Amino acid sequence: MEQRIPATSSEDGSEGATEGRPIGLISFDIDGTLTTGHGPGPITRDMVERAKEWGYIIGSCSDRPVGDQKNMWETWGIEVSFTVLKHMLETVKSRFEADSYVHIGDTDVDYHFARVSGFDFLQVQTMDPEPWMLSPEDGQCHWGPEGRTR
Amino acid sequence: MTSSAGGFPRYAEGMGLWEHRGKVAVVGYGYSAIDRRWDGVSMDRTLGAFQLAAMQNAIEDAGLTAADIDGFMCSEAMAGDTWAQEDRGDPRPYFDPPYDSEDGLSLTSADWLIAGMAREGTPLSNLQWIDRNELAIGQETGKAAQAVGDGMANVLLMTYNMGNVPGRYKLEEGAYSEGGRKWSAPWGWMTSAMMQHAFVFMQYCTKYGGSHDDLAPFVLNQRRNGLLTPWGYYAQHEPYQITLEDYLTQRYICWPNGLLDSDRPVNHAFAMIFTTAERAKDMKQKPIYVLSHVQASHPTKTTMATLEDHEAWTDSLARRLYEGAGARPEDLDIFNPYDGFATFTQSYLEGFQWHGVKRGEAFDFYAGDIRVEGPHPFNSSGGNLGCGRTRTAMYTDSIEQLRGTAGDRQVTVRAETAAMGQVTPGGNGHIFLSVHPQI
Repeated sequence: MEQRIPATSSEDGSEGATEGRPIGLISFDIDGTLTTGHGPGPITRDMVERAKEWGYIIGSCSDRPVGDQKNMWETWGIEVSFTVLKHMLETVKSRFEADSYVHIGDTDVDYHFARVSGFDFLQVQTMDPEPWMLSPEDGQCHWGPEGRTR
Repeated sequence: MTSSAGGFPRYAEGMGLWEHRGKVAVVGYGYSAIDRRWDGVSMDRTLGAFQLAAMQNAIEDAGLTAADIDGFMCSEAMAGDTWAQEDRGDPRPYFDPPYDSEDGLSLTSADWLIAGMAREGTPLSNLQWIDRNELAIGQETGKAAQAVGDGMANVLLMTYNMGNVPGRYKLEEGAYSEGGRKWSAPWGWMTSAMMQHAFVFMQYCTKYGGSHDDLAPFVLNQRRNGLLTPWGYYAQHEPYQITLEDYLTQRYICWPNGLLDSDRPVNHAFAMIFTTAERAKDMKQKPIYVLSHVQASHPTKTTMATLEDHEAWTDSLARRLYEGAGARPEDLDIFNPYDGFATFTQSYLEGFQWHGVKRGEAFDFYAGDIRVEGPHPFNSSGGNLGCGRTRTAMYTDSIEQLRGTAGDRQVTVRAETAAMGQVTPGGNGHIFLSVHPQI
């Protein structure tokens, strides 16, 4: 049986600003959720990078092929802990130990797979900004240029 | 000004040679840019704006002006969902004219397009014949050829679109499926379509052997051909080749129909120009002659068609198209059948007996060399699976292959004839093209 990876933000456990803070895991859908999506969603690279800096275990869960997800993260220059197909979200929970599991997406399909995989679901068009989404400069949430209209 | 083309539709068996065989030609085509969805903001990338661009591009490709066009044909069917989506509450507002209704956003009426061409400074000022009655391009192309052959128009501009707006695609049922639809389309229209074809596909696998995974070489090759189609969705926006592992691990939508077996909705438009063979002789482009067209519309005995139905229907379709063209299976060089779901394309392949493929042999054929540079360049367009749900790649590719302008997709085998069509075995239209006025 595959060993569960402890609550840090990297697969080898070398990273993670835990400092007693509960560790969360955030799964991002891509299309309609991240600004790199087709169509572009409202969550920016800065937000995702900040989530990682805060110690969240982050990765993507999308209908895009895994290879394309990896290419996207490479383009963004962000090392993530997982890239899985949408119907494989439950494998993330079995791989990573965390205090909370959240999937952020834009469709009913995201909601469905979050629910059956034991994740909380945040719909990107209607969610309240999470603390890691706020800019350290002005404390505001700066959604991507396309906004949250989709 | 609106009237019908006399010999349309062509449903019957035993009609013999098409009466206008070789007397009608395709002399121009054009297409728009392509997006996954209209973004709700860019008014130069609406479905209507795209369609006007496609029409203008077709006219330019033919070396004509808008004033040369005397026949016009479009589909006024809604391609995806409405912009407003009133059935889901909180309807989205419309915009300033000409986008103050669904017209131009999620569908395009003939009136909207004709007004749009005038607005763009390219008025269709000499229209004598207008048709807006066909729902899809398969039927449109046949009717356009028939109309020119019957003398309804001398230079006919035919156009078609497939749109996509933000939101769940083609829910169609609203928030709930009601009546009999709660059984046949419990999660919306698309699941119904998938169920139909998944069922027939499973019957196919049971009868002939094989499984869903045997579609992998075909689907991967469709994406490859699509990536060789510069205007296609994947070439434009997601230029990566899917792998066998991607295919085998894909998410099933309606088992055994998976995500990669299903075409991806896009926002796009297309146009073609038909004229008489006589006029085509001296035009800018090499004439591509229409040798035949046929249609099919089969009621099902129950809510589900069967493998037996699909085979009988596609046998009839192929027989009639070949007969109208005076052709045999070995005369067909380029074959671009429909692939909205990968699970039914083999019905056409085997029905047309393209490259000798008989019933039950599609999986073995797919496992061979079907690349465009190989001996059996099946569906060289990449179809919907390779280019997005345009339903038009099979037409642009066929014209380009016959013109010899398909670029990296140009086949290395003979390319003098082509057949293509859409949609499903139960309801479709197909057309047979050739660089020669007869075989």
